[in-house]
Amino acid sequence: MATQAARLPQQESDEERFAHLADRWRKETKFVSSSTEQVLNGAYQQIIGMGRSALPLILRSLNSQGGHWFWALKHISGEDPLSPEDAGNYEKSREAWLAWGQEHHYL
Amino acid sequence: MGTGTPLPLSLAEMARIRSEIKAGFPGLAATFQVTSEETRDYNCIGWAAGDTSRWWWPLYPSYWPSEAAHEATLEAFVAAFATLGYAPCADGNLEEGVEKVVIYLRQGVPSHMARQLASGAWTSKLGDAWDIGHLLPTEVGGRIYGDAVQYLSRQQI
Repeated sequence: MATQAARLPQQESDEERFAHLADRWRKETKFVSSSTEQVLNGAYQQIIGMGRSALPLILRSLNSQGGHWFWALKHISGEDPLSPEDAGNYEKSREAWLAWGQEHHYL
Repeated sequence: MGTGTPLPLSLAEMARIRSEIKAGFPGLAATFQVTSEETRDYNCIGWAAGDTSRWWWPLYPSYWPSEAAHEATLEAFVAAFATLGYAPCADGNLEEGVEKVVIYLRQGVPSHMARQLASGAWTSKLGDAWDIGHLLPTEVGGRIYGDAVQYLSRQQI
């Protein structure tokens, strides 16, 4: 009798899971003006739920594609590298978090 | 960055962008115009405030005037624009020498703002994407932004 190992459903890697969720978040919030709605989006919340394993993935995405990842980075890491006077400045926020990622060896 | 004038894009590229915007905002009339590249440098609140260097919102790490409550409520948005000289007014009718903005609410929570142009038409920054010009505030109302609810005005600066 031919035997064939039962196929278990393949588990998504963190990278694959993040890529799917980040893509969904971008599509669902592209026209959303409310930062509150952007961060309460279900896909964004699931990424936050991935915890510290999401940090390098978020930082790589921030580096390559940009995006409002700052709230997730702050809430996962418990840190905040931004200067208060740079509030609202997207490029300075991005630079500060990318520098933080390099300093902590996530990038 | 928004200039209020149509973008110099190929017909095909402009058609693709217009189609994407129209899918999100089916109430837009055919007269709407795309007036900026996509940018994350500012959002609709910054755009309404005339600030194209900052993303305004009462949430980390956005800019929000310290005089206004740090919360996403209509009262806090009215207070934020009071720091720029705006006060509530009755409608969005064009008035000589008066500048107007409008706050949209979705399920009772601020979701968007638009600013009136000198022509009487309106301009909106759409999330992380483009600025557009549209004839009426109601054209961008609906599923994403809800309704244009509170008009604010100030004497032209």
